[in-house]
Amino acid sequence: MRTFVARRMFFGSMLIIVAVLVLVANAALRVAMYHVAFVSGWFLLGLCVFLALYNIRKKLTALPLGTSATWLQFHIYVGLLTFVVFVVHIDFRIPNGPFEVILALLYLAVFFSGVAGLILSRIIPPRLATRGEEVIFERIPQFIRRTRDDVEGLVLKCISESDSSAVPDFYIRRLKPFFDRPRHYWSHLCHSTRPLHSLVVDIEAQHRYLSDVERSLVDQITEYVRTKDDLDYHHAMQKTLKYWLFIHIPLTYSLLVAALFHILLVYSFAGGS
Amino acid sequence: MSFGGSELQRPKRWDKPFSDTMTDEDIARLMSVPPFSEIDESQFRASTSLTDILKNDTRLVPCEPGDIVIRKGDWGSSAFFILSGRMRVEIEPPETSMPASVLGRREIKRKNVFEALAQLWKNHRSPEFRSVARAEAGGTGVASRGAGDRTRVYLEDVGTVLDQYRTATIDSGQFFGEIAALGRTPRVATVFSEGEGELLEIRWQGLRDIMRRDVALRMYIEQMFRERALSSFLRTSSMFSHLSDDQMDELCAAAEFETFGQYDSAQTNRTDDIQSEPIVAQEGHYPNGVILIRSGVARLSQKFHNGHKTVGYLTPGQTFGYEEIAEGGKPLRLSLRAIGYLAVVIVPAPVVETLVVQGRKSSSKPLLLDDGRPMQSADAETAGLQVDNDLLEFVVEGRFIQGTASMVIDLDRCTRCDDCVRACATAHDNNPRFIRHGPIHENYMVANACMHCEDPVCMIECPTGAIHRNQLQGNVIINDQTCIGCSRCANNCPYDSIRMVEIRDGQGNLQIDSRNQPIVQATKCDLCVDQIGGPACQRACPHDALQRIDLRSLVSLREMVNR
Amino acid sequence: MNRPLQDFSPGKSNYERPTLGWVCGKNSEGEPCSIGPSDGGNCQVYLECVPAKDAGGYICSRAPSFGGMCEKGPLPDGNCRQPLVTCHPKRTLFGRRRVVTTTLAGLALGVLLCTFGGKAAVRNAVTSPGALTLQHASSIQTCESCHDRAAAEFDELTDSLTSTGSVALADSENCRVCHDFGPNALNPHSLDADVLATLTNKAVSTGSTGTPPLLVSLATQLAGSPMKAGQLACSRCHKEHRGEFFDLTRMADAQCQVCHTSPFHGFNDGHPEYSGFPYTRRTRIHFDHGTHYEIHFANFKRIMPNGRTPENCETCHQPDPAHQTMPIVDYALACGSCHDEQFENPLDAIAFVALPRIDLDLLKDEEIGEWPKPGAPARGQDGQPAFMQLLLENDETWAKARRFLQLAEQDGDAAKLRAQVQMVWATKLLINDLIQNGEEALSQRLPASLGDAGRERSLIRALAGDGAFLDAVGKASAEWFPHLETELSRHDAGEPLKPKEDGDGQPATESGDASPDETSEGNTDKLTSESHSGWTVRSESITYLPTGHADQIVQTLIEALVSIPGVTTIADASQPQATHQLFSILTTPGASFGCMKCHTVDALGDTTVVNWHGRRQISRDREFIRFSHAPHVTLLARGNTAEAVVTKRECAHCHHLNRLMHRAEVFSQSDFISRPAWDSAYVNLPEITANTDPHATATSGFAPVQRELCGECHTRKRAGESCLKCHNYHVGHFSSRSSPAVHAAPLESSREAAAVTPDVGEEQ
Repeated sequence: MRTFVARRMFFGSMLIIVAVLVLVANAALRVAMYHVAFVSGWFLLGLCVFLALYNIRKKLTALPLGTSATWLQFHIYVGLLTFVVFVVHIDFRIPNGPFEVILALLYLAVFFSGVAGLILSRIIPPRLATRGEEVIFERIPQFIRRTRDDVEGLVLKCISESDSSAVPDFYIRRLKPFFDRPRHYWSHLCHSTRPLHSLVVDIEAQHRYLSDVERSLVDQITEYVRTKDDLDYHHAMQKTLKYWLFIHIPLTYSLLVAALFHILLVYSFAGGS
Repeated sequence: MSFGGSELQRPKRWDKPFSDTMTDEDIARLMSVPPFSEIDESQFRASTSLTDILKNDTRLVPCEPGDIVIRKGDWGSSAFFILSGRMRVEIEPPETSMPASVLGRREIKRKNVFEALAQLWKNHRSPEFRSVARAEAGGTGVASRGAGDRTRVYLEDVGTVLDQYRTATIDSGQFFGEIAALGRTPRVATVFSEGEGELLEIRWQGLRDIMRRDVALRMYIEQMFRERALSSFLRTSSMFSHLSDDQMDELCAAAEFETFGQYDSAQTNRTDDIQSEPIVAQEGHYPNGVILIRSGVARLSQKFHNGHKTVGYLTPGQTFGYEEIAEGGKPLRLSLRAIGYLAVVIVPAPVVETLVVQGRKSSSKPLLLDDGRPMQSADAETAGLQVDNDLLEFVVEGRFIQGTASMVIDLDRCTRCDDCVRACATAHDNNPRFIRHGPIHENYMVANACMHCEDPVCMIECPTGAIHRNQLQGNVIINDQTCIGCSRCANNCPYDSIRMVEIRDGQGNLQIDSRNQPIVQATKCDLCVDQIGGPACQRACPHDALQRIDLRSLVSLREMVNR
Repeated sequence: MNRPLQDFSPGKSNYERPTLGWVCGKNSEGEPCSIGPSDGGNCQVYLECVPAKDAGGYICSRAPSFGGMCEKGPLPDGNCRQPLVTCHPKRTLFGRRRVVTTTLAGLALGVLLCTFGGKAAVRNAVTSPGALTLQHASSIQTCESCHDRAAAEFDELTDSLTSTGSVALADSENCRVCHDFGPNALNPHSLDADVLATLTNKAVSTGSTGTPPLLVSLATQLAGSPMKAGQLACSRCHKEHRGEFFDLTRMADAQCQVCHTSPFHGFNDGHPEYSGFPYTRRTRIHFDHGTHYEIHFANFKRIMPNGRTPENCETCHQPDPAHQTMPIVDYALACGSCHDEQFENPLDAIAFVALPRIDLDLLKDEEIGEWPKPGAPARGQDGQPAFMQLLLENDETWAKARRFLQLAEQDGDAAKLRAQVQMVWATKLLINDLIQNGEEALSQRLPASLGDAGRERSLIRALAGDGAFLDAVGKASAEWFPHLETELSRHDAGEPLKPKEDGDGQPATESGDASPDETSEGNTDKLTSESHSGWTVRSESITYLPTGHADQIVQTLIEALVSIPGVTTIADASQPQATHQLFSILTTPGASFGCMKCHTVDALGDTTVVNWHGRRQISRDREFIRFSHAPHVTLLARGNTAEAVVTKRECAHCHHLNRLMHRAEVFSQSDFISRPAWDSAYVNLPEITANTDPHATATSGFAPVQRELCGECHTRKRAGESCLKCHNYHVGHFSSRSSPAVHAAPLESSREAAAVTPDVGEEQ
């Protein structure tokens, strides 16, 4: 599997095969009036535990337990498989007991957050690589700060160079809030450049009130606006890339805890044949 | 005010001499024998007088029959001078040379599973912990790391070895091991003691200082290389490996030995453009011989409109200009330029013609090109894989071609999850040993992690040899026990891969000197030399984005680009 | 273009350590300190510069990495001159994630522990896996009523993880409180293990071969038959908590086929053909529709002037309250119009008491007292009637004498004389005893062998109840032995019956004033007299003629006889037992009263039952095959039997007269007596093969229903063809409310049925 495409093909087809096997086995065991729920339940739990182990593996970097990349591949495809097993486990019905509903919702939350995370981590990085300077998330505030300082420097220059207060006023009114901190999270997430565009338009609208000197300075400011916008973009995207795990991981552990109680319940109310 | 830090003397060069056992008598004895007796001491600065150098940078090594002094392939940072006795140097071609078993090569000690696992809770929560005790003691047990009292490896039966393998003798009053020491290359041959004898081992820093001051010695050393290392070096190239001894002697006699660029002006200033690089061979000229790179890196360029296009580069062991000669003296397709310091050996065209080309024709054995052969357009198409030219330029301009294990991150796949950083920290007592930033070309970032250069300029000015090459793997690693925090390596590193950090004690308090200045030490990636699975960063990357690849040849880069 | 944002050189970019728990609080403003917070999360910016003591006072010791020395240097008191800008460190991303994770997981654990550890009621409310079906929801209030563990403490719950016992099985007992499926409820088909085994073997031996459906074979491969589990919890098949309208009894055909592996794919595709359905036994009442319709009804005008032809099937077959089966109506309605006459032929009368036949000429010198002249022997009076033999069985002298007489044939033998004399006196004693003691006499004399006390009583009550029998005896003795008492008292005293004045003996009859011709006349006269009660006194016997259908005496007598083990079989021809004689007289079809012309007798192992009635439909049994007429006959389905008129054609759609059958077969003797009485599907006598007996299936005169007939409508698309459409899983005799028969029928009707039907006996 030298290329990623080949790898995707391989794992994908494996997933489909296993899923079909699961469905067939389920049908067969139901016919045999076997307690499928127990089988699929334990299977599901096993899979979930395996998936959760990936988090542990990430902590055990020192041990040669196979590369994290390999683990992730299994994490992804086994994760997708769990959905099939889950549907089999709830017997294609919507559970109607309070606790069961909670359990199912927990699972679904974890599952879909995982799927979302997968999609995000495949979509966002290429976009990041093609937009602005590659920066470390934690450093973004510093860069914003530096950009703001530069801009303010330029604004002061305007004050000293001309007697009009057009630029400073505009800066205070329009630009300062923009430069204060990361902005336009959602529009960046939606890959929309509307905010930037409107800002630039506003700045250009100012030109008619400005002297040539101011104009040149304002043009520089525009550059900084673009830089800051790129920073915002990186902030938005990287934030998304990091924060989806805030749903995925904590809920995973809650899910496992709840699952244990579920097992306890099942065995004390329907244990045995 | 409360200031938990523990006071101690700021270390200096020679705080920790090469050996504590050098007495003044020894020095006197040395000063009485050539070549030291012939050296003009007045040339030396008072701060580093010849006697000081001898006292601090040398030591006496007695040896019994069969003692292995140097092993082929080791990275050594010291040269030897024979005071008495006679040494044997192996001159077998690579295929038939002594196996590792005979040499009793030692594995580097790695953490076992439990030690590796223990890192999870044993790691200190505060960054940059250093054991105060060790640092104060100045590291008695430390010297054993470098070249101190290491357990000797010796050949049980010298006789049989002498029968089985061809060897040359080195008699007393001669140097050996200096080529590797100065040229920052691996040892080219194994040297062992034939009988009783005594050696003077000189740290390369010391030798370097002496050579700076004494022209005669420098000449002597270079002469030495022509006589000795040349043949074994030539044999390392598959091109000459098949030659017989007298053919080889002929070759050595004809071979010329040249260097380009300054010895320790590293390729640090990266601003110089391609024009200013010294030309070794000019595109379009007729080849006057096959060029073998000994150390350093050379750029392969081709005239392109009004500029020069980089089409590849050569690293030690690789050859240039053979095809043109083999094809009957065609003009060179490419020109060869020295990047920074470059040492080459030139075998004149007629000799190659007679010895190699004819020999090849007679023995219909096809010519084996070295793996590291620069990927030129023709080959690229045959391989069906391309590294686009911009990327190549980027790699060369950034001098990443030096890297034997550069950290290349594919930003199209990297989710900036910092797993690599965390893995690195876990493997290094909770300190990340690199920073996930660095120069970028399109979607490829070469992160600020030590890339373990072929030619580590960081080592050049280290006063204590704390930054050294690991013997087997050749990783460049810093010995915390001997690092004095002079930060020369950090300044020398052209890739910003070495960082100076304030070291702390168990409570997380800064360690400070008498003047309350925090004590700093150099840190960098050690390629997880003591970890089980190799580089943790690479193993920890969930998306196959990060790879440690050897940029000396394009093979691995090509694979990464074309997956 | 502006300058690039970042510079990678160590001086210009700070050392990122995302693994630490805390980051400088000033980072968000974009100017973090380079020393960073401690691992406890405290700001330690003060460490950046601690002025060092120097000869001339203090000097700044700020390291280059912290911004380098300040040119002014520290204050004279040795404190740093720079204002300390401390901050509140914030957690790093990973730090925050760790916190969130631990809190959330902890929260979940806590809440669950509280819920599970707390009140059981709360826990059950939360953990209930869903609504019950309507029928359960209406009756069940609490979880405890089904789940033993519902009230359990938390630690008891945790024990259940380690306990080996099956909770599901234990809880199944709670189901059985309402749903009684017998002692073997949790066995496959709720059948006894041995029965199951035999049935299985039978099935295996007859099982056809072929390829089962793919899924089934796969299932058997994977899990094998679930029945191997032996004890089957109810929950195995019946899944509750699946919503109000969930069908608890739904099962896929394939699920049946896991055990029933003889492979077929549908009712019309491989289902075994019927063998004689629905005639799993021969009918209790013999009625051959064929002969009746084609011969008798056709010739009514001639042979049955006042007989009524049934207009349609419903004349004789009315649906049961459940509209499930079509039992026959009462005799009076159905058969009476023709068959009543058969009870009015005086020649059918049978002698119950008769005088022994003696040779008066031989005995004229013996002391026998009065004795009537022999007349024409009544029917069934060979020697002495079986009933009289029963009364005399306990009398030793009589029994000996009788046996002697049967053996010794030569005349004139003194012993023979004596025997005859003894018989005479025994007879007189009996009659006298009957007259004197009546009911007591009967109960003493009738052998205990006539069944249990209960039956005997009923027989005696039937005989002595209205006194008709005893009256008849009285009359008879008055006629035969006018001075019976005096004779007996004298005989006991040993005195001569009458003084001998003169030597010549007078014929005994002279004492009687009745002349022989008189008596002969009297005999003939009395033939018709007093025959209203059915008892008739004749010259030498007392005969009985039933008073009509369902005559009490005959019925009880037959009942009593039938209850005697082995009464139906002849012990040895030479010594026919009285009981057997009586039985065969009473039950020979065409002979005697002809009860057994229509009524059959079933032998249930050791007990025997007479079928006085046709099958009572509401049997409490869940039979393996389930059929109800209601949905099949449109008008019945409407439910109102009053105006429900089922045309013959409608019934005939399924019930075809079997013209092939020969009448001889229909009335073959074997059909009358001792038919093993197993009632169709719940086979608890494995050796039963009645439904393979040609007579058995023939006796109704209808041809068996063919599978194809059902197959016309029962396809997957139309009426459905699932196994459970026509088959019950739980089979056996249950008092369960869940039995469909009882479900369908109003409760009282089923009770009444249970009470009235005598063939409850069959169901034991």
